[in-house]
Amino acid sequence: MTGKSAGNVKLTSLVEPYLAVFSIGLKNTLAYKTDFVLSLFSSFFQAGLMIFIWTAIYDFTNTTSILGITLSTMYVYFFLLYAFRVVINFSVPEVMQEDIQNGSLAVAYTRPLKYPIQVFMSGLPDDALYAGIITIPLIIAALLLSHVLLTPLTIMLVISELLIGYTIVILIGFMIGMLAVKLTNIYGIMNSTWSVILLLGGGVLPLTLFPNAVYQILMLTPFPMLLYVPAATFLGMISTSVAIRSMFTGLFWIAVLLLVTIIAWRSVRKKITSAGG
Amino acid sequence: MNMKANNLFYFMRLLLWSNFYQVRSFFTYRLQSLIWFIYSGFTSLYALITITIIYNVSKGIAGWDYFQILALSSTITIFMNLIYTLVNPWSLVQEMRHGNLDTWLMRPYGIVTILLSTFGSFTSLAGVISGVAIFIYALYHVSFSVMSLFAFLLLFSLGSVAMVLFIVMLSILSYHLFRSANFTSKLLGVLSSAGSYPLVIYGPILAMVFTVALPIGIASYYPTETLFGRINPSLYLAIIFLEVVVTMVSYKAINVMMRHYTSGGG
Repeated sequence: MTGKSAGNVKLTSLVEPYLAVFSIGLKNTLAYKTDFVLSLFSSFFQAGLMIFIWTAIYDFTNTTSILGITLSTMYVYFFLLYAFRVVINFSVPEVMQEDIQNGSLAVAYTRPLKYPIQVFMSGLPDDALYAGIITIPLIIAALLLSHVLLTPLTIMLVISELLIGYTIVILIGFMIGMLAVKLTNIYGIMNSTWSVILLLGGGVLPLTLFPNAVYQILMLTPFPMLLYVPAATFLGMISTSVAIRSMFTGLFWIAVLLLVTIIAWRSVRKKITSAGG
Repeated sequence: MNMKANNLFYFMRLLLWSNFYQVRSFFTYRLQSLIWFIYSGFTSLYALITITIIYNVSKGIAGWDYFQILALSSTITIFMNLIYTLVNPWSLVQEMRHGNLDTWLMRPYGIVTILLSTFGSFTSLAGVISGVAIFIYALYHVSFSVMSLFAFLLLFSLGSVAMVLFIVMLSILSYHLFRSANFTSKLLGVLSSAGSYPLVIYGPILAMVFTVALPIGIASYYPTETLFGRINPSLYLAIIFLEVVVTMVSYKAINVMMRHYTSGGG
């Protein structure tokens, strides 16, 4: 066996178990196909409702632009918002909590796999399906509505921002999931965190509509990278330099969150006792 | 079996007993329970922040000032949290799938009494309370007559009963069709968003949909319009008639579907 093929075999045997976890997650997600697909389509309804609401607001205000945002930009913003919600991955802490509550964590530790990657891979199918069924069609709808011609630089920026946002959410999710070791039940914390993330990440309104001081402070936090910055970059609401600065802020937060997560996980994993000890 | 009827007395009795044990088990995780309460209360603030920002940067929605919209939005917050306090569609379908509903069905109560008193999440009461607080705050800043307040309370109460039964019906239908309740939960989210704003902004077709087909309007928009004296007597009576029809149809449908209910395992 040549060195190259031996390397390939090693890589395959390393990746295969995680792909199996992904595959099981995919089957679980698709166990109730119609219900799952219909629930995903609620994103289209939500985006549609936002369009009606903002049309009424612009009509009554009798203006073409609110704080520099035109009505058509607002339409597209909401389409993008629901498209980019793919980065808000709720599954990591949910899986960790479940593993701790029902004792699956002990089983997971007997496998020759890294637990954090297992957790991530089991939630990935949801995101992959959301991306395929919702994100791509909504982005196409946004492109048709906005007549925006995306340059390769913009596409690259948006993809990078989404990846940074996705990583931030996974790390925050993992940190919350670790709390389950101490608290066992973390549903309240999870839901509170996601609500705050959505609000502060521009998931309800474009952040430029917030008071300027609040906006400036928010731009220093990791939250805008999740939804607002990618959508604003796509629409040209923020300049390339602001987008790049936001990316560096996001990378800084990834480094901080990663560091905290690694330190915390090293300490927490020694204290893990699943139900039954 | 001497099946006790779906009347208010038995409903309250079962609701109090089942919640007593729910509360006890919930407070097993004390910190968690505190955070749940904060979260449930926070859901009201969410709408408050959104509406405040909208009215800060624009004139808002025609015919509705800031406090009127706040009243409308808090009405839907109260109603949505009321639903979750009584019955969480997702939990209900989970319990049906796992066969846990069966043990409840052995008890001598009516099916609607059981469904509405055992599968709720009482933490949502915090959302009801914070919704009421925001509603009172909004009312303090708008003018209305005592008469219209009573008319509002009647319409809202009947509308809430109708919509709660309607949601239970949808959840059971969802179980029959998909064995899952993701869609119903998401639909509730859509209805919550839709009901937070005046139905007229959605155009005549969607306004009709949210009045008759997915009648969220009967629990929020029409009662709030009544409060501000914008509903004429004939429309008021028509809405009450609609609420009664939705209640009766949902009640009947729940009973019919539950007669054909088979849990996980048959």
